[in-house]
Amino acid sequence: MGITRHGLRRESSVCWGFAVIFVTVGMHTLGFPRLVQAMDELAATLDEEVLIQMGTPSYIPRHARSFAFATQAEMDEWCAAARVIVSQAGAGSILTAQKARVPLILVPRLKQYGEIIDDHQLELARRLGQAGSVIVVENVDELAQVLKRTQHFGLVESTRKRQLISTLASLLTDLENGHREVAGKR
Amino acid sequence: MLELREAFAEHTVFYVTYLSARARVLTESERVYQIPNIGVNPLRLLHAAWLGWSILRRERPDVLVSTGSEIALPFFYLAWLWRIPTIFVESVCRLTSPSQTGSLVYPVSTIFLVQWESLVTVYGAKARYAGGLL
Repeated sequence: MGITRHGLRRESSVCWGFAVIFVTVGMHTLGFPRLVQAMDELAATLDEEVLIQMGTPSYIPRHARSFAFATQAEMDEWCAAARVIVSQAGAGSILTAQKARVPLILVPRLKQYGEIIDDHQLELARRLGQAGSVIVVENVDELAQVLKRTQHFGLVESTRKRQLISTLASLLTDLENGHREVAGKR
Repeated sequence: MLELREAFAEHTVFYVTYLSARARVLTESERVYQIPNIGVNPLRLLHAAWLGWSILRRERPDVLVSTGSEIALPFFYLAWLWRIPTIFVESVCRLTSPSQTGSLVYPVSTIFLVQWESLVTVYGAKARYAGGLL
């Protein structure tokens, strides 16, 4: 427990005896008030607790608990304690959320609202949505319905990461051996 | 890069990255060279190239791997000059269009991996799809 440098009381997830809906907008300098406000308004109507990592504060939640930024370790802890994660569609946020093995709802930042410089988040989210490993919500009005559905949402394992790691491992060994022969290091 | 750690667990590794709080944490368990952020500044790029030259001359690595972004530039070109094999892993965020760094290091990379099949034809014959982090 303690006061963070943003003046928000830090809560330890260990104090929570129940699962929460964890919302994250990432460590981007641009705020994401569209998502933060939508989830804050939902928080007033839901029985569940909502915790929002809100980034640069542009809309201050009134119903949900919130904080601005956190360390990677703190983010991992919050994600692990969540019943479901609602996240922007940045690669780092998705990786953090997927490590927790908890249902993930992606709300891509959109260029048209000035939330991001281009629509690569939208592109990435839609591709992952097609693969079935996440739910994608482009219109925040749909969040209420989707959150009810995720009670029954199962996790889809992706083999892509395993494939990349094993390919990289064998390439490294081959190149290293090849270079050592050439460089006469054996 | 750290998401791919398992791939180089068996090897002796040193890292080159930008000065940051995260890099400082990494120094607790790994050998790390921290250099100033290049951004889009050509003078900083030259400075990074000078630092890269001394790091590579000292370490003489057998392979160089990078996930970008612009920090890869001076190192990949230096590695190419010194015939050190390189592997570039394009960002998982690039589905249909190349990154700037990827386009610039593509000509000199030994191996060029993309994380989505849709990107293979965008780059060319050298690009390989081998899975992806997401």
